[in-house]
Amino acid sequence: METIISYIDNLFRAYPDTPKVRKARAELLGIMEDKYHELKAEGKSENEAIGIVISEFGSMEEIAFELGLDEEKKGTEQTFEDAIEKKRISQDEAEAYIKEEESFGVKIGIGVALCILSPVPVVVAETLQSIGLMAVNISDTFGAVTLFFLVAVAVGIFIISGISHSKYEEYEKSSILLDSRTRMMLEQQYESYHQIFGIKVAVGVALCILSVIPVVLIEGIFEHTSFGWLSELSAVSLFAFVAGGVYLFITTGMKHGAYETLLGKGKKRVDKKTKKKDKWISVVAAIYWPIMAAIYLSYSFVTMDWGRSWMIWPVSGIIFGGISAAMSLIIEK
Amino acid sequence: MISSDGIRGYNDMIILCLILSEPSYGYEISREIKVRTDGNYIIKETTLYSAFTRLEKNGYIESFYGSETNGKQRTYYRITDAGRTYYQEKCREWDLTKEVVEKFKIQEE
Repeated sequence: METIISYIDNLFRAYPDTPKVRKARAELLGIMEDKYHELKAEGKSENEAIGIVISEFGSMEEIAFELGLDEEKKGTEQTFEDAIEKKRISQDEAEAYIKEEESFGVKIGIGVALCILSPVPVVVAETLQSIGLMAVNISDTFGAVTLFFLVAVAVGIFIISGISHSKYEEYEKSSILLDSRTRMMLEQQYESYHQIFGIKVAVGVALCILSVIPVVLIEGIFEHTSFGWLSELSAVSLFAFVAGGVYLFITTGMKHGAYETLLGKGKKRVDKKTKKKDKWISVVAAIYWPIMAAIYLSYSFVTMDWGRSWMIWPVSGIIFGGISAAMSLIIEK
Repeated sequence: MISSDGIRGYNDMIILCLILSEPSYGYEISREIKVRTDGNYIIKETTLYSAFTRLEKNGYIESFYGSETNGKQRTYYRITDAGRTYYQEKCREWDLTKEVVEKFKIQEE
């Protein structure tokens, strides 16, 4: 009987919990229960009885149709859809939005690239110091100051471009209505941009993967020569490659995303689990990253080892990836 | 066994027929249909319940809670006067339907 109850519960899960629905559930269950007991009394096994009862149940569509739940079920979806604001956008507005997203992407890309490149002066100063071109105290200060300066510039870019961008936020939240000509035009542009998007992302990935090659090469060739300082400097090329790759991801991704927003593509309905997952990951991130920043700053200031302390970032990034993957798995279950 | 599609228009008539003389409840009606038709028609639970809802909405039947048996209170259905009239209508409709369909049946030897 448990099997039958859970079968019914599953079928009814999709419908709103109204008196009408509760009554239907109770009545159907009542008939099934009677049938089940009679079949058992006739000497059928548990499994046989359950099998017959379930096979003779029929279809929920029939019930839904009769109770007018068809509309109610759709009705709840409709109100969900209605909750998302509908926004009518003209061709000019659409074009302006894509231009804006493109330039926003460039700004964010530059900002992120600056953050990635921020340890470069540290590495350079460190190298100059090791070959005796710069005094220790000057090199440490120079490195730290430029690092913070670059990050500050990046944050400034984020904030300023974010403010001017915020007027487009409603585009992302609402479902967008386009006239058919604009839609066709955008579809065409999207199609042709799709290829460029693919190529740029591939180049970006390649840059990130290839970023270690100069390091390994220079290290291998110059390690024990008088040009050993070159291997220290090779970290600069690593940052440059990664910054280039990430810049490509961001700029092309923003433009691609702009088309998707306008055309309503890729607006996935977020299910409860994903929501829960995202919530938990953002909670952990809110604790994790400040701790990492605190560790980085206190370690760097105490030891003044700015030349190596930046390594905490790639490492903690990988660890964070691991943590979020593990959390997804746990919540998925 | 017959298809539920073929009989769809007559579920109402079948159910009304079974409560003509006295009220009955879901499973009893379902069992009676199976028994009377020698298992050739087994009504699906959802079909039965939708028919009850439809018939009650149209005022052809009334539901009430029966006395408790074995700790279980069942919903009974009783036919109304409108239901009886409707039943007669359905019977006449069936006679006509039968006649019409019969015209297109090629008699085998």
